[in-house]
Amino acid sequence: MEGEQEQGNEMLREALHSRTPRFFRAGKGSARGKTGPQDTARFADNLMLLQECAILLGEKLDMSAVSGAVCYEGDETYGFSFDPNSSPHNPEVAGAIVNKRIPMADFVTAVREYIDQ
Amino acid sequence: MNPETLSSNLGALRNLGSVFGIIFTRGTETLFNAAEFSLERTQEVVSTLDDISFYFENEGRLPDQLSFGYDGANLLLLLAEDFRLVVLYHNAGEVDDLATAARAFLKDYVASQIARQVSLSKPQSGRVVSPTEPVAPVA
Repeated sequence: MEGEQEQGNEMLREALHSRTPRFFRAGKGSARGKTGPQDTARFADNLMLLQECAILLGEKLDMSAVSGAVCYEGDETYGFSFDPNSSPHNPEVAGAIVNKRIPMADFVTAVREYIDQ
Repeated sequence: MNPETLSSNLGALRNLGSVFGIIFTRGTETLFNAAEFSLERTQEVVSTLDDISFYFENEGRLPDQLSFGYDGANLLLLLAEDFRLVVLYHNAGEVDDLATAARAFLKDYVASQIARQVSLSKPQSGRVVSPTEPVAPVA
Protein backbone atom coordinates (compact mmCIF):
# COMPACT_ATOMS: atom_id res chain seq x y z
CA MET A 1 0.00 0.00 0.00
CA GLU A 2 2.76 2.41 1.00
CA GLY A 3 4.77 1.31 -2.02
CA GLU A 4 1.80 2.07 -4.29
CA GLN A 5 1.45 5.54 -2.78
CA GLU A 6 5.17 6.25 -3.24
CA GLN A 7 4.94 5.12 -6.84
CA GLY A 8 1.89 7.38 -7.28
CA ASN A 9 3.76 10.33 -5.84
CA GLU A 10 6.70 9.68 -8.12
CA MET A 11 4.40 9.54 -11.16
CA LEU A 12 2.73 12.78 -10.05
CA ARG A 13 6.08 14.53 -9.62
CA GLU A 14 7.16 13.36 -13.06
CA ALA A 15 3.89 14.48 -14.71
CA LEU A 16 4.05 17.88 -13.01
CA HIS A 17 7.66 18.32 -14.02
CA SER A 18 7.05 17.37 -17.66
CA ARG A 19 3.64 19.10 -17.68
CA THR A 20 1.98 16.08 -19.21
CA PRO A 21 -1.63 14.99 -18.55
CA ARG A 22 -2.41 12.73 -15.61
CA PHE A 23 -5.24 10.44 -16.69
CA PHE A 24 -8.02 9.00 -14.56
CA ARG A 25 -11.09 6.83 -14.84
CA ALA A 26 -14.29 7.04 -12.85
CA GLY A 27 -17.43 4.96 -12.57
CA LYS A 28 -19.71 3.38 -9.99
CA GLY A 29 -19.03 6.25 -7.61
CA SER A 30 -15.26 5.96 -7.45
CA ALA A 31 -12.28 7.36 -9.32
CA ARG A 32 -9.02 5.64 -10.19
CA GLY A 33 -5.68 7.07 -11.17
CA LYS A 34 -1.98 6.33 -11.02
CA THR A 35 -0.77 9.56 -9.47
CA GLY A 36 -1.78 8.93 -5.87
CA PRO A 37 -4.95 9.27 -3.80
CA GLN A 38 -4.77 13.04 -3.35
CA ASP A 39 -4.45 13.70 -7.07
CA THR A 40 -7.26 11.22 -7.79
CA ALA A 41 -9.46 12.97 -5.21
CA ARG A 42 -8.77 16.28 -6.97
CA PHE A 43 -9.88 14.74 -10.24
CA ALA A 44 -13.04 13.44 -8.56
CA ASP A 45 -13.80 16.93 -7.21
CA ASN A 46 -13.28 18.48 -10.64
CA LEU A 47 -15.42 15.81 -12.25
CA MET A 48 -18.33 16.44 -9.87
CA LEU A 49 -18.05 20.20 -10.37
CA LEU A 50 -18.10 19.93 -14.16
CA GLN A 51 -20.86 17.31 -14.28
CA GLU A 52 -23.05 19.40 -12.00
CA CYS A 53 -22.56 22.54 -14.14
CA ALA A 54 -23.10 20.62 -17.38
CA ILE A 55 -26.36 19.12 -16.13
CA LEU A 56 -27.68 22.42 -14.73
CA LEU A 57 -26.98 24.35 -17.93
CA GLY A 58 -28.09 21.49 -20.18
CA GLU A 59 -31.46 21.29 -18.41
CA LYS A 60 -32.13 24.98 -18.96
CA LEU A 61 -31.11 24.83 -22.62
CA ASP A 62 -32.85 21.54 -23.43
CA MET A 63 -29.50 19.99 -24.25
CA SER A 64 -29.27 16.52 -22.79
CA ALA A 65 -26.74 13.69 -22.80
CA VAL A 66 -23.56 15.35 -21.59
CA SER A 67 -20.61 13.92 -23.51
CA GLY A 68 -17.84 15.73 -21.69
CA ALA A 69 -16.42 18.99 -20.38
CA VAL A 70 -13.14 20.87 -20.25
CA CYS A 71 -12.12 23.72 -17.97
CA TYR A 72 -9.30 26.23 -17.56
CA GLU A 73 -8.60 27.26 -14.01
CA GLY A 74 -5.38 29.07 -13.12
CA ASP A 75 -2.64 27.39 -15.11
CA GLU A 76 -4.47 24.04 -15.24
CA THR A 77 -6.64 22.33 -17.81
CA TYR A 78 -8.92 19.57 -16.59
CA GLY A 79 -11.95 17.74 -17.84
CA PHE A 80 -13.58 14.46 -18.75
CA SER A 81 -15.29 12.53 -21.54
CA PHE A 82 -17.78 9.71 -21.26
CA ASP A 83 -16.36 6.41 -22.41
CA PRO A 84 -18.58 5.38 -25.34
CA ASN A 85 -17.44 1.77 -24.90
CA SER A 86 -18.77 1.53 -21.35
CA SER A 87 -22.16 0.06 -20.50
CA PRO A 88 -25.04 2.56 -20.56
CA HIS A 89 -26.16 1.00 -17.25
CA ASN A 90 -22.76 1.61 -15.67
CA PRO A 91 -21.29 4.53 -17.59
CA GLU A 92 -17.61 5.22 -17.12
CA VAL A 93 -15.77 8.44 -17.71
CA ALA A 94 -12.12 9.12 -18.41
CA GLY A 95 -10.50 12.43 -17.75
CA ALA A 96 -7.29 14.25 -17.05
CA ILE A 97 -5.57 17.13 -15.32
CA VAL A 98 -2.57 18.88 -16.82
CA ASN A 99 -0.68 21.76 -15.25
CA LYS A 100 -0.73 23.99 -18.31
CA ARG A 101 -3.34 25.49 -20.57
CA ILE A 102 -3.57 23.39 -23.67
CA PRO A 103 -6.05 23.89 -26.53
CA MET A 104 -9.37 22.38 -25.43
CA ALA A 105 -9.68 20.38 -28.64
CA ASP A 106 -6.24 18.82 -28.01
CA PHE A 107 -7.27 17.99 -24.45
CA VAL A 108 -10.38 16.18 -25.68
CA THR A 109 -8.29 14.28 -28.27
CA ALA A 110 -5.81 13.21 -25.56
CA VAL A 111 -8.61 11.90 -23.32
CA ARG A 112 -10.22 10.04 -26.24
CA GLU A 113 -6.87 8.45 -27.13
CA TYR A 114 -6.54 7.38 -23.49
CA ILE A 115 -10.03 5.83 -23.68
CA ASP A 116 -9.10 3.94 -26.84
CA GLN A 117 -5.88 2.54 -25.38
CA MET B 1 -17.81 50.23 -25.35
CA ASN B 2 -21.19 51.64 -26.41
CA PRO B 3 -24.29 49.46 -27.01
CA GLU B 4 -23.86 49.63 -30.81
CA THR B 5 -20.27 48.35 -30.61
CA LEU B 6 -21.37 45.65 -28.17
CA SER B 7 -24.10 44.47 -30.57
CA SER B 8 -21.79 44.69 -33.55
CA ASN B 9 -18.96 42.70 -31.89
CA LEU B 10 -21.22 40.00 -30.48
CA GLY B 11 -23.22 39.92 -33.72
CA ALA B 12 -19.95 39.12 -35.52
CA LEU B 13 -19.23 36.36 -33.02
CA ARG B 14 -22.76 35.02 -33.56
CA ASN B 15 -21.96 34.66 -37.28
CA LEU B 16 -18.74 32.69 -36.77
CA GLY B 17 -18.59 29.00 -37.73
CA SER B 18 -21.43 26.90 -36.39
CA VAL B 19 -22.47 29.33 -33.62
CA PHE B 20 -26.22 29.35 -33.02
CA GLY B 21 -26.53 31.42 -29.89
CA ILE B 22 -24.83 34.03 -27.71
CA ILE B 23 -25.83 35.22 -24.25
CA PHE B 24 -23.82 37.91 -22.47
CA THR B 25 -24.62 38.83 -18.89
CA ARG B 26 -23.40 40.80 -15.93
CA GLY B 27 -24.68 39.17 -12.77
CA THR B 28 -28.38 38.64 -13.36
CA GLU B 29 -28.59 41.37 -16.00
CA THR B 30 -28.73 40.28 -19.65
CA LEU B 31 -26.54 42.62 -21.73
CA PHE B 32 -26.93 40.84 -25.07
CA ASN B 33 -29.04 37.92 -26.21
CA ALA B 34 -28.81 36.34 -29.62
CA ALA B 35 -30.14 32.90 -28.76
CA GLU B 36 -33.39 31.60 -30.11
CA PHE B 37 -34.94 31.00 -26.73
CA SER B 38 -37.93 32.57 -25.07
CA LEU B 39 -37.30 35.45 -22.71
CA GLU B 40 -38.32 33.21 -19.84
CA ARG B 41 -35.82 30.51 -20.74
CA THR B 42 -33.04 33.05 -21.24
CA GLN B 43 -33.76 34.38 -17.76
CA GLU B 44 -33.51 30.83 -16.40
CA VAL B 45 -30.12 30.39 -18.09
CA VAL B 46 -28.90 33.74 -16.74
CA SER B 47 -30.05 32.82 -13.25
CA THR B 48 -28.33 29.41 -13.50
CA LEU B 49 -25.09 31.10 -14.62
CA ASP B 50 -25.32 33.34 -11.59
CA ASP B 51 -25.85 30.33 -9.31
CA ILE B 52 -22.87 28.55 -10.86
CA SER B 53 -20.63 31.60 -10.44
CA PHE B 54 -21.78 31.97 -6.82
CA TYR B 55 -20.98 28.31 -6.22
CA PHE B 56 -17.48 28.71 -7.71
CA GLU B 57 -16.89 31.72 -5.51
CA ASN B 58 -18.04 29.90 -2.38
CA GLU B 59 -15.83 26.93 -3.18
CA GLY B 60 -12.84 29.21 -3.78
CA ARG B 61 -12.68 28.08 -7.41
CA LEU B 62 -11.72 30.49 -10.18
CA PRO B 63 -12.34 28.86 -13.57
CA ASP B 64 -12.37 31.33 -16.43
CA GLN B 65 -13.25 29.13 -19.40
CA LEU B 66 -15.42 26.03 -19.57
CA SER B 67 -16.71 24.02 -22.47
CA PHE B 68 -19.46 21.42 -22.29
CA GLY B 69 -20.32 18.84 -24.92
CA TYR B 70 -23.87 17.62 -25.36
CA ASP B 71 -25.57 15.40 -27.87
CA GLY B 72 -25.49 17.56 -31.03
CA ALA B 73 -24.48 20.86 -29.44
CA ASN B 74 -21.75 22.47 -27.38
CA LEU B 75 -21.59 25.30 -24.90
CA LEU B 76 -18.61 27.55 -24.25
CA LEU B 77 -18.70 29.68 -21.10
CA LEU B 78 -16.24 32.48 -20.41
CA LEU B 79 -16.11 34.17 -17.03
CA ALA B 80 -14.43 37.48 -16.20
CA GLU B 81 -15.28 39.26 -12.97
CA ASP B 82 -19.11 39.28 -12.91
CA PHE B 83 -19.40 39.07 -16.70
CA ARG B 84 -20.44 35.78 -18.31
CA LEU B 85 -20.39 35.04 -22.00
CA VAL B 86 -22.10 31.92 -23.35
CA VAL B 87 -21.48 30.71 -26.89
CA LEU B 88 -23.63 27.88 -28.23
CA TYR B 89 -22.29 26.04 -31.28
CA HIS B 90 -22.53 22.75 -33.13
CA ASN B 91 -19.01 21.87 -34.27
CA ALA B 92 -16.89 20.80 -31.27
CA GLY B 93 -13.67 21.33 -33.24
CA GLU B 94 -14.28 25.09 -33.29
CA VAL B 95 -13.95 25.48 -29.52
CA ASP B 96 -10.48 27.07 -29.42
CA ASP B 97 -11.07 29.53 -32.28
CA LEU B 98 -14.38 30.61 -30.77
CA ALA B 99 -12.79 30.94 -27.35
CA THR B 100 -10.04 33.16 -28.78
CA ALA B 101 -12.58 35.45 -30.43
CA ALA B 102 -14.88 35.50 -27.40
CA ARG B 103 -11.98 36.13 -25.01
CA ALA B 104 -10.77 39.09 -27.13
CA PHE B 105 -14.25 40.63 -26.98
CA LEU B 106 -14.56 40.04 -23.23
CA LYS B 107 -11.12 41.51 -22.50
CA ASP B 108 -11.97 44.68 -24.48
CA TYR B 109 -15.36 44.96 -22.85
CA VAL B 110 -14.07 44.57 -19.29
CA ALA B 111 -11.25 47.06 -20.00
CA SER B 112 -13.75 49.59 -21.41
CA GLN B 113 -15.97 49.18 -18.33
CA ILE B 114 -13.00 49.79 -16.02
CA ALA B 115 -12.02 52.88 -18.03
CA ARG B 116 -15.61 54.13 -17.84
CA GLN B 117 -15.75 53.64 -14.07
CA VAL B 118 -12.44 55.46 -13.64
CA SER B 119 -13.61 58.41 -15.74
CA LEU B 120 -16.91 58.58 -13.82
CA SER B 121 -15.13 58.58 -10.47
CA LYS B 122 -12.76 61.46 -11.41
CA PRO B 123 -13.40 64.61 -9.35
CA GLN B 124 -15.38 67.19 -11.31
CA SER B 125 -13.30 70.11 -9.93
CA GLY B 126 -10.49 69.27 -12.34
CA ARG B 127 -12.59 69.80 -15.48
CA VAL B 128 -11.68 72.45 -17.97
CA VAL B 129 -14.12 75.36 -18.09
CA SER B 130 -14.78 76.91 -21.43
CA PRO B 131 -13.92 80.64 -21.55
CA THR B 132 -17.50 81.31 -22.67
CA GLU B 133 -19.07 79.18 -19.92
CA PRO B 134 -20.40 81.31 -17.05
CA VAL B 135 -18.64 80.62 -13.77
CA ALA B 136 -20.87 80.08 -10.76
CA PRO B 137 -20.55 82.82 -8.21
CA VAL B 138 -18.54 81.91 -5.11
CA ALA B 139 -20.63 82.08 -1.96
